[in-house]
Amino acid sequence: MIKKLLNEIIKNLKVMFRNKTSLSLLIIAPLIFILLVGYAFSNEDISGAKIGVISEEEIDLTPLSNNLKDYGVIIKYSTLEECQSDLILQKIHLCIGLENINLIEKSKIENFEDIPTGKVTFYYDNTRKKVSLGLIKTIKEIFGLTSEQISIETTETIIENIQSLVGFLNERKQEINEIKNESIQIKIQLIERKEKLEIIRDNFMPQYLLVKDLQNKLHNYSSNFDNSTNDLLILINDLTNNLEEFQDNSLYNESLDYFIGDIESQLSSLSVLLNSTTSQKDMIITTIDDIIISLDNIKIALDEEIAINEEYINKIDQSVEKVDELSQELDNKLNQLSGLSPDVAKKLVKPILYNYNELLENSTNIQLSFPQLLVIIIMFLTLLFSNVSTLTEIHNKAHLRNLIAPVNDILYIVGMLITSLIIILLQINILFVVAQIKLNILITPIFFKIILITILLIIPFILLGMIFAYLSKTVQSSILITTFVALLFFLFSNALFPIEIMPSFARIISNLNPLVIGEYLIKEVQLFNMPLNYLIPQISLIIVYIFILFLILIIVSKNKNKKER
Amino acid sequence: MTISLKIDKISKSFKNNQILKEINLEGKSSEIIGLIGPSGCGKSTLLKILVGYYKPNSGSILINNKKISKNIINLRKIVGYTTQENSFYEKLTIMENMRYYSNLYGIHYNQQTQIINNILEKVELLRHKKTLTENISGGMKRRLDFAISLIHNPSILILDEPTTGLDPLLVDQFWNIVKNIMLKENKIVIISSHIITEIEKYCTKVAIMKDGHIVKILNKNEIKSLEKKFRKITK
Repeated sequence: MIKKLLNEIIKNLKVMFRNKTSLSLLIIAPLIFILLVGYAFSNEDISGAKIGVISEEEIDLTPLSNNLKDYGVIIKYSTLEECQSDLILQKIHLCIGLENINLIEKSKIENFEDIPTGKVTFYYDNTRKKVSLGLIKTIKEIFGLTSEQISIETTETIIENIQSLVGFLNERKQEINEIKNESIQIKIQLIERKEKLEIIRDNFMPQYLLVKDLQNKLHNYSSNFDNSTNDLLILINDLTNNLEEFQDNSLYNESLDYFIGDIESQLSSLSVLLNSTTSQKDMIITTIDDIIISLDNIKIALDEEIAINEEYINKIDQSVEKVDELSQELDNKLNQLSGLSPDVAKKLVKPILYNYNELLENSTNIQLSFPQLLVIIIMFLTLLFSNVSTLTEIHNKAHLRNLIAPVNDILYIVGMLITSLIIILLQINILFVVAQIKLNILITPIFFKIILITILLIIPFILLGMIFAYLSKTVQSSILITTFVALLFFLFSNALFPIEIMPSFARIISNLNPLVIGEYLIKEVQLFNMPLNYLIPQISLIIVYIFILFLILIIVSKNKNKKER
Repeated sequence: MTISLKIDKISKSFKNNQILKEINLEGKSSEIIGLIGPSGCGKSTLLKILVGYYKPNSGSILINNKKISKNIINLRKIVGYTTQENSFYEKLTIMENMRYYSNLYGIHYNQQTQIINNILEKVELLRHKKTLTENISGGMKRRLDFAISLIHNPSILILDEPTTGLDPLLVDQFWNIVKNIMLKENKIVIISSHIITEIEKYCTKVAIMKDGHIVKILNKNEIKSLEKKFRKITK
């Protein structure tokens, strides 16, 4: 069986390679294709773009032209309609409306005043969304510092000012602390003074009370004395009056007169003495009262002094407490503010920072697109090649003789499958060589893995191409069906739009698309050098496809042969 | 070793179109059986059943009195088929075509060269064996097709209009080769042709077909004036 299979494959290869047109296409086509693709995708940035700028005012577009000179040329329009008309005719790639704009060359932007300001409106052709958006992105970058950048820089300045303020407040806080310490010192002195005053008052009070008591007593004595003196004076007066009457009535008794006179003189002296004593007593009382008044004043002064001290101490306490609170608050605020640094500016303007880290840095467009390109090439090449090869074989006059040879028909199917696989692999290997040498796409380090994946991808497409060849009645219909199916695979893949934007059912179908699975496998292997054991589910699915398609092919070919027979 | 062939009530239809209706025919070693009939009478269909290309709807083929039509692979092993249109690969050389088919028929590689050279010598193509078949003449192509049908030394050889398109000289050359090989090797030859004269000249038995039936079988001594008889029968 193996010999017969080998015989079949060798025959197929000879037949294919002896057709000069086929041979040249087999080898040259992938070569030309990859070189053209490599050339077409060699640029990383947009170039040769034509950008319409709409401005009714006379505006100097030189700065914008200079900024954009690497990407394209500026064409000036006075109205939006004119610009849009050319956009529709694809004479230009983009229209830009400028309002109140000040343009300055990117290289000449030195400070905030130089930053371009105003309103820029982009009018783009969404049928050419990719190129339009790519161009818009480039132009936005060219306009230099964006509003976001401006905000960040402004905020950085504000924060720098806040930092200076924090420094200033820290210095003032030091002074506040010094004042607080001085207040505490004063308070301590006041407390000491108050304590001394209290001691003085404590020492003074017993004597003061004693003197007060004495005063009261003196006042009582004085009052009693005054009463007694009055009584006595009245008595003396009465007595004197009585004596005078007695004298008048005694008829001038000399001795009596003498005695009376002596008594009257003594009474008069007593009266004088009493008056004098009363005056002296009053003087004493007055003096004592004055002393008491002085003592009272001293006491009041002491009490007031102590109370004032107390009040000052309390006030100082309150002030110190308030200063402490303020100081604490200031500390908190300063702590909060001290966390601010110009680096925070970005956080303030953009609370969430978006960092875009590419998985594959420094990769060119062609390197990144290679997996998708490869699977598309494999699909179209394989489907059409296997279809045409199978059609050529089953429509070959020799096919009749093959069918009457004593071998199982599966031999021809397997033979064609392996032949197609060899040819496509040869083409893909040519493509790999060119990709490695010309486009710096790394193939050699992952050669065996990528070859395995490529084989797994090629086989289902070969089987499909063969199935269509067996199913179709004519060569034309077969090629048409194959092309149509290839287009379906292409459309239900990531080639035009991401499958994530498709409706859910279409997405499910697309996820089962061998083109999508193949792209994933090639991408994982070629770009990320993923070990194959991580890709077992996808590889298994492809193997299942191969198994199912092989069964279908056998059934279809048997039916075809049966019908013919 | 002699061989006998019996076609027993073979019928074949495609969809609702019955092509062959209970065909009976017998043959034995060294017989050259001519199959003639108007276009569409079912000659090629019958031949393709004999080579194992079509399966009959009913009836059987017996080789040496053994029913073989059910084991089609065995039938293919003993039948050689020279096709109406040269059935080989134009992009292969004569030798490569011969090798390809000898491999398909399971001929051991060591024997291939000798067998192929012998056949090619007989059909006078040996010196051209390295020539691409797309570059050889029409007569050579017919001989090559014939040579391929001999590669597995079949006991029964089916020739489906083998001389169509050949000039009379080449027809004679072709038939000389056929006769030389076949008669020496005790094979049964069944030939379908529109050329009544060559049937009359080279066949030992003639079956005349009409509308899917064999309407007349003529033996060697009945073949003379074949064209007249054919016209009469198929009128």
